[in-house]
Amino acid sequence: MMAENSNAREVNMAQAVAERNITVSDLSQQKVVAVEGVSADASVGDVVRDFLNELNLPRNDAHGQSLSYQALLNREARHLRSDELVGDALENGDWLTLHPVVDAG
Amino acid sequence: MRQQLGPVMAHRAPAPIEDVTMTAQRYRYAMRVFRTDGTCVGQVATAVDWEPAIESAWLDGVRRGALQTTDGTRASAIRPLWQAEHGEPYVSGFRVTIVSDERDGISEDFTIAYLKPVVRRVLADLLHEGYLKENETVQYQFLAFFDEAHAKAGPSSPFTAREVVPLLPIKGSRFSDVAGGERSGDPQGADIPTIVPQRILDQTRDLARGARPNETGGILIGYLHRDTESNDLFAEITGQIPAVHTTKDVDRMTFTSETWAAARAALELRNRQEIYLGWWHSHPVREWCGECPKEKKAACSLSRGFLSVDDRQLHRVAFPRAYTCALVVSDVDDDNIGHALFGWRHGVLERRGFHVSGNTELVYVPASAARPAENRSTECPSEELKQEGGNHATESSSNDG
Repeated sequence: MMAENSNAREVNMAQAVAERNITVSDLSQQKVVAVEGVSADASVGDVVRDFLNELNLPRNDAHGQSLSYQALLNREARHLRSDELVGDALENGDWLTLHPVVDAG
Repeated sequence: MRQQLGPVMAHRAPAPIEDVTMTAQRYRYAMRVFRTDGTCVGQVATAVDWEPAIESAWLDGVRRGALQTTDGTRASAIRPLWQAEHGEPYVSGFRVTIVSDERDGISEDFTIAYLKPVVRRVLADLLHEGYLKENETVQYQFLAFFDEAHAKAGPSSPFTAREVVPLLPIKGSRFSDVAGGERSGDPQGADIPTIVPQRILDQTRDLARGARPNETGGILIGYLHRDTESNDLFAEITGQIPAVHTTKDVDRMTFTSETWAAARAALELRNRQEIYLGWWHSHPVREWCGECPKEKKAACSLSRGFLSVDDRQLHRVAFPRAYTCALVVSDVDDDNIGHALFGWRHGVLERRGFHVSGNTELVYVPASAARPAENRSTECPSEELKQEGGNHATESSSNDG
C-alpha cells in the first residue's frame, strides 16, 4: 500500500514538473487568461497557436494569410523562439504577452 | 471551400441565458447567395468573428452601469434573432448577452450589417472560384443552425484556461475640466466621447510629413474617465508613442513584435498609469496620387481619410477593446494634411467625431466633416484598391424577407 502511494505521488510530481501554469495576455494586457497544465514538451509555437483561441485573437490577416505572433516572456523581456520548449523556457507563474506582426496599409 | 449544410431540421430553441457559463456559441451560421433571377448560387458555411460584438456589449454595459469593469466577457452568449416573417433558421441579427455576478448584466442586439466582412469574404471567394461573374449583383441571406454536438463538446484545448479580468483604471472626472469645454456634437450617441489634444494632431502631422514618402505611425495612449456629471465614460488621449522597429514603404507599414515591446516599455517608463487607446498612421496620398490634379485630390475619398482592409484587421488584432480608436493622417499636399478618427460602433469600425482640446476653445470635429462626397466619381482605380484591397468585384444586397 505504501509503495502504491509513493508511486502515485511520484506520478503526480512528474506531471507537475511536466506542465506549466502561466498567464497569457494580448498586447494591451487587457485580455488575460490564466492557463494551467501547459505541457513542458510542447513547443512555444504550438502553444501560442492554442493561446490565440483563448484570447479570441485572429489567426489570419486581411488577405487570409497566417498572422505571425511572438510571445514576449515578461520575466526576461525577450521574445521566445517558436521552437523553444515550454519546459526549457517557462517557469510556473510566468507571464507571456502575445505580439502580432501585422501590416497597416 | 463551399460546404453544404445539412437539412434544415437539426435546430432547437435558442439556448436559455441561464445556461451561460462561458462564451457560448451553439449555432453554426451559413450564408445563402442568390442571383437576381432567384436562382441559388450556393450556401456557404461561415465563420463569424464575434469578439467585436462581445466587446461592444461589454462596453455598453459598463457605460450604463449594468456591468462592472471587473466583469469579464467570457460569461456571454450569442444567439440568433430570427426574421419576423420567415422565422428560424433565417437570421435578421443576433443578440449578445453578458451576465454579471453583482449587477443586471446586459444584452445588445446587432443587425446583419455586422456580418458585412463575412459577406465580402464569401463573395470574393465565390468570384475567385468562378461561381459569380465580375460585377454581378446578388442577394444573400444568413441562416443559423443549432449544433448539438458543438454545444455539448465546446472548444477543445490541451490545457485549462480561465479568464482573468485585469484592472481597467477609470478616473472620476468632469468632462469639461478635462476637455476645457462642454461636450457637444456626437449625433451618433453611441460613440464613447474621445478627446484628442491639438498637440497630438500637430505631432502626428509633423511625423507624417517627416516620413515622406513612406507611411509612419504610432500608438495612442491615455485614460478612460467616468464623467461625474453625465456618468458616461469618455476617453482622453494624452500622448502618442512613435512606432519603432517597423518596416515601411509608400503604401505599407509593418508593426513588428519589437514595435509592441518598445511601446510597452515606453508606456511603463512614463509611469502615469495610461492605457492603450488606439493607434495612428499616415496615408501619403500625395505619393499615391501624384499625377492627380489638386482639385480632384481634394474631393477624393483617399484624401479624406479611410481605413483599408489591412488597417481594419490591424485594429482588430491589436485593439479589439471597444473604447479604442484609429487616427488616420492623410498627407495630401503641403497645405492639406488632415485627420480622421475611426472607432468601434456596435462592433464595426466606423468613422467618428472627436473633440480637439488645447485650443482657445474645445472643438468638436464631426465624422461628417471628413466623409466622402455622396456622388463622387469612382473612376480612380487607386481609391478602390486602397480601400477594399481590390477584393470586391461583386455588389450585393441583403434580402430582408
